[in-house]
Amino acid sequence: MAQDVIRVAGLKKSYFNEGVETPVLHGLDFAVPAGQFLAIMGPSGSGKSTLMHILGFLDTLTEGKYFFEDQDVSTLNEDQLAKMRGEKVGFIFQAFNLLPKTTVLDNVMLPLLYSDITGSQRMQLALDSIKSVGLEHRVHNLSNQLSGGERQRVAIARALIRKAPVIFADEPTGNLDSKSGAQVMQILQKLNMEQGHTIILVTHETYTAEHAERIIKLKDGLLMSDERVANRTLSNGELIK
Amino acid sequence: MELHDLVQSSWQSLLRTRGRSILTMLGIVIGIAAVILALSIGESATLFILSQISSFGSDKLIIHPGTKALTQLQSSSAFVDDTLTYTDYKRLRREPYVDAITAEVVQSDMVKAGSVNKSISVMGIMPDDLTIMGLSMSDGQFFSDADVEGRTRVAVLGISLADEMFGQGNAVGRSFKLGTLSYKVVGVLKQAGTQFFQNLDDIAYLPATTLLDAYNKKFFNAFIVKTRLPLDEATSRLEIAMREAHNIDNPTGDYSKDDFFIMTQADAIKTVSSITSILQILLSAIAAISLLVGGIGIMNIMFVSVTERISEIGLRKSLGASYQDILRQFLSEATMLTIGGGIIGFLAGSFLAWLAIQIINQYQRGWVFVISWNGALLGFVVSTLIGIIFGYLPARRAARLSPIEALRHE
Repeated sequence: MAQDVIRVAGLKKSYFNEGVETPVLHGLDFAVPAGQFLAIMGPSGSGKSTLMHILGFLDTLTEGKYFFEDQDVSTLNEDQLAKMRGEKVGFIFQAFNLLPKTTVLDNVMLPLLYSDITGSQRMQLALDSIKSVGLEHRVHNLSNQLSGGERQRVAIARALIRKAPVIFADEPTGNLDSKSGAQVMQILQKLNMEQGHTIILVTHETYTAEHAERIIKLKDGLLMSDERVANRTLSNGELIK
Repeated sequence: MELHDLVQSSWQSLLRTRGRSILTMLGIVIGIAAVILALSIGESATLFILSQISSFGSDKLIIHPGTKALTQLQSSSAFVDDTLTYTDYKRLRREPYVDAITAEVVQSDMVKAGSVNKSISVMGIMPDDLTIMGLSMSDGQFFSDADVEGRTRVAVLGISLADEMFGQGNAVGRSFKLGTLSYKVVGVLKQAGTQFFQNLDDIAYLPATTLLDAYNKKFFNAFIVKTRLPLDEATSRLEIAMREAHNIDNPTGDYSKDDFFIMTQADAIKTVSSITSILQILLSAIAAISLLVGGIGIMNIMFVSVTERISEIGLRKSLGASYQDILRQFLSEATMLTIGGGIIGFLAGSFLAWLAIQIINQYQRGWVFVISWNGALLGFVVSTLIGIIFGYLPARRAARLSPIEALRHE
């Protein structure tokens, strides 16, 4: 059995606003083996985004334990967390979050600003990454000249450039038409199957979630179900051999 | 994050909001341009004044009527005493260490010669003036001691004035009227340019005694003495001679008892420097205020920029940017704006100063444009500091944002 890349135990999260405590996650326990394609589902307000943010080192938990590659994340300081965000995880957001009026190349290279990778290596990594999402003909276009689907593929290339083991995708198809959405899901499946990235997908659509191997369902901050996907949707025939 | 990355990344950010970046810079541009303009013209003015004083020569002493100012900044008494007489002149001229001496008295009057009818400066001087001021004749002769003694109505003209009155090379032997009296031209000086703020070519020179008579005056404005002695020794000897001549009992050398005072070129330069340093302080104070305003403008815009870019900051943090990375990015954006503004301000200020010097030169020859390198250095340091100081608070606010709150902000 593959080693767990993520393990949480008794994970609780509350927000405090002017002394009022609002609990969001009520104690979650689960593990994600390396190389798994996991979907986290739930209605809005279920805490699925908060969970993803905690797993992606963007937010901190209130109680419980979170181990990433057997490292206790709660012992890390802000600088170490920044390093983890840079090296260990890549994010894909619903709203793409590209820098405006900036070329595809510069957008994809952005994470390298915060790495030790220098000069000529950067360009090669960026071009490889852009190629892997099929946008090599758009390298020098500005981000605002692209379609929604193309923008999300740029965001995927950006998430890949540091070869992070885990990719988080927060409603990646939420702003896309179904054709572009399918294309994005195809790329995610390919990354998972061919390059072994662990992928954690947050979505509220069952159809999208069924691209994953396993679905965790949350409701009101509690884990409702944790099941393997019986009839997994594959993006297209050529993808699976 | 390496410096090169930082600069490039900041540059790209500034370009994305080009219009606003330029407007923000404007405050610094104007501030620095004002500083450079003031300093550059100030340096030109100092240079001009010093060159005028230097043209006087370092081996000369000037004796003024009145009581010596005790400090550099105290002016001599408001009422200039009339104390320097023809008798004093003759007395000093007999002193063995006096190589040359002239007495000067200035008057303005209407000159009439042919079609020329205008107000000019008339100077009463002595024959030694030729050596003291380093003048030479273009035509004819300078007037003699006999002319001084006899108070004859003769005149030597500056070359521009001579040409204007009588046409080129025609002046010697001709007569002209000053006020109601007429004078005969005995000589014309070679071009002498501006010395001590006067255009020497536009003046009519009379024997000093003749001028005193013609205008009912008894006293000279100054004596100028050329000596081969060291100046401090000559000064004390002249003081003794003058006190004897004026019957002043002053064995202790108390200047407040004297009715004359002696200055050298070095004294004049000292006075000028003390005035210009006050001017520099004044200008710097004004410049500091305008730069402060510019700096607050930068801070204001950087705060707006941070607020507008909260989600970008969140994105950068999600991609691995640390507190330091974000802080440096915003600091370097602010600093690049101010340094850019400083460079443009330096160029604009220097250009305006150059233009101003061209215009001044239309009215007074001898001004030279100087680039104020002190000002350039000062401007560079100040604009960098403004960027860092006024950019710091907004940058810190950006860097402190929690990644998730920043990302959620839309």
